[in-house]
Amino acid sequence: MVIALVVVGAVTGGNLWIHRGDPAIGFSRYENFGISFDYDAWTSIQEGDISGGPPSEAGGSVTAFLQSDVVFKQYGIFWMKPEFMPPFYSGSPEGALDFLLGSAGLMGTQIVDRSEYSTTTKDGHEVIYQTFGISESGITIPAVIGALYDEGEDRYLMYYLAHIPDFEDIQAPNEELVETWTEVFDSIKFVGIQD
Amino acid sequence: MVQQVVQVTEAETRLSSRLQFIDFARGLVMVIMAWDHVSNFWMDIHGGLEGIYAFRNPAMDFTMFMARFVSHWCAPTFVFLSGVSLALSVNKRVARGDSEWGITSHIIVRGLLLLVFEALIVSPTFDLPYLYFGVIAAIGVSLILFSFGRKLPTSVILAASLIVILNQQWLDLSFIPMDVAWGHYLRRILAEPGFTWRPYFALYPVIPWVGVMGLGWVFGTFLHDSDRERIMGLKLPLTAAGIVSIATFFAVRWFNGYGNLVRRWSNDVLDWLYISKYPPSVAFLLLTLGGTCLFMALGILIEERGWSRRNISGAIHQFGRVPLFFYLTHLWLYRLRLPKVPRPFPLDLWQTLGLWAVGLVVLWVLCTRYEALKRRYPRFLRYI
Repeated sequence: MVIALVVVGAVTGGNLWIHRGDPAIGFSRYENFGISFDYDAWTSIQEGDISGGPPSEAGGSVTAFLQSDVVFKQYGIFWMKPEFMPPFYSGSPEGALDFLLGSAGLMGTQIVDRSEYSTTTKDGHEVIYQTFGISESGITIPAVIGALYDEGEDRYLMYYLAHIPDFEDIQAPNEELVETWTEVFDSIKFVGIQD
Repeated sequence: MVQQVVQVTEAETRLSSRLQFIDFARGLVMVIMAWDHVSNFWMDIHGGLEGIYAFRNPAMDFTMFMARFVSHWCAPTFVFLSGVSLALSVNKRVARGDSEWGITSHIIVRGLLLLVFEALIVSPTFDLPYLYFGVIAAIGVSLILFSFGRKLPTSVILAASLIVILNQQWLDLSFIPMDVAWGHYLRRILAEPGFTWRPYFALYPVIPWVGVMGLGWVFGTFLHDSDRERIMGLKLPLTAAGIVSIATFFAVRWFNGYGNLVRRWSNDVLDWLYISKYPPSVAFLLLTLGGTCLFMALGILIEERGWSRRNISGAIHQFGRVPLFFYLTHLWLYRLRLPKVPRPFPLDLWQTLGLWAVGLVVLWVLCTRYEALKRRYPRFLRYI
């Protein structure tokens, strides 16, 4: 009987060890293009690129949506190789952000109230970020976007969060939004910049 | 007069030779199960499919949630005690010298009959297809597996059962195609319950329910090897096991990882209690089998005090002595209409409770008469 219980412990313990890195219960994992993150059962995922085509190693995006009657939360990551950007924009994260937001404007998204650039870090890399608003259906959705250069994959990574925690009380971008943006992206892994 | 005394004495001997606390635990969950089914048949709001939906139905208020939640103890107790009864029955047959093939074939026939009952009697009451794989079918297939598996040492059955239960969440059946009928049905029956492709519906997959029956088998073997005094002494160990099991359930829910097939999203009471029944998660089985231990301990207490034949306790024991008859009968009794005939009007909570109570009285009469009939024709009715 003792042997039987030891076998049960060994099998179950072994499985726990093998699956220790799995997404938490209730979450799924996105893993593609050197980007990895877990998202919950209420969030839907969509891949694409800036021009609406399919994503590729050269450039693309993955977007996570969560929307209900009371909350709107959308976050996403864009990646783009410098050689596929106009030379004027390809030399720095600020240029990459200008190119992305400018392209979004050309595609019909109304970007308003862009703030000054600020600086933070992710996994030891400098990140340039700014707050902005997305004007849509008579409201301005507060958002934050940051950019860094991923030398491992030779590409720019730009990640944003647009978030309305409560439709009854829509606020301009603030520190709380930046903190949420930081929290969201702390849990996202970019393969090229991992130590 | 003498004849009456002899009859009473025979009946008492029969009752005392049974383990009445097993009948009590089984009868108790069958009474609760009857509530679950009558509310399913007659009420507008009835919870269900816990685990198939990843998150709680937001339309459920606390009362309706609890009205469904109490039924969680039924299936695990029913399956566990099927294993107990199987072990007691097989060991008794072996002891009296029945042939091995005679025992094996009896179990296989019983398992096959359960599959037939599920298809022809149970599924139509829920307006489900004949291929629906419910709890009776799961017990049937488990019996067939045990017709051969019973020859394994008890320690091996215990280890295999625990491994099946504790490791089910990592079972990967993706090598079986889901887009062909046979593969879809096989995966549904084996470990992935669901209602996505009619008629290949399943709610009670063999994995891990066969493990629950295995635990019952191990407990039944222990009971068979024990004398009456030792069995009556199980009251405290069973109580302790039940409390520890339920406390472990709360620990598993608190950690919110391993053992929870449905995550706890908040500290809301309903979130804590919304657990995966389809398939049964480790958390679900800790809670419910912990309850089974407590029911059995209560049954021993009742048996000790000599209350087994009194009033409500007597009726509960009565139901527990003829479980399959009760199961097959109560569904049609409470449904009160032919297959595919829609419900004419809904009942509210109190009306449904009233129908449940009246139905139990009718069932008590029917079960009493059926038991007498079974005593007259034991060979003919031995499978029900």
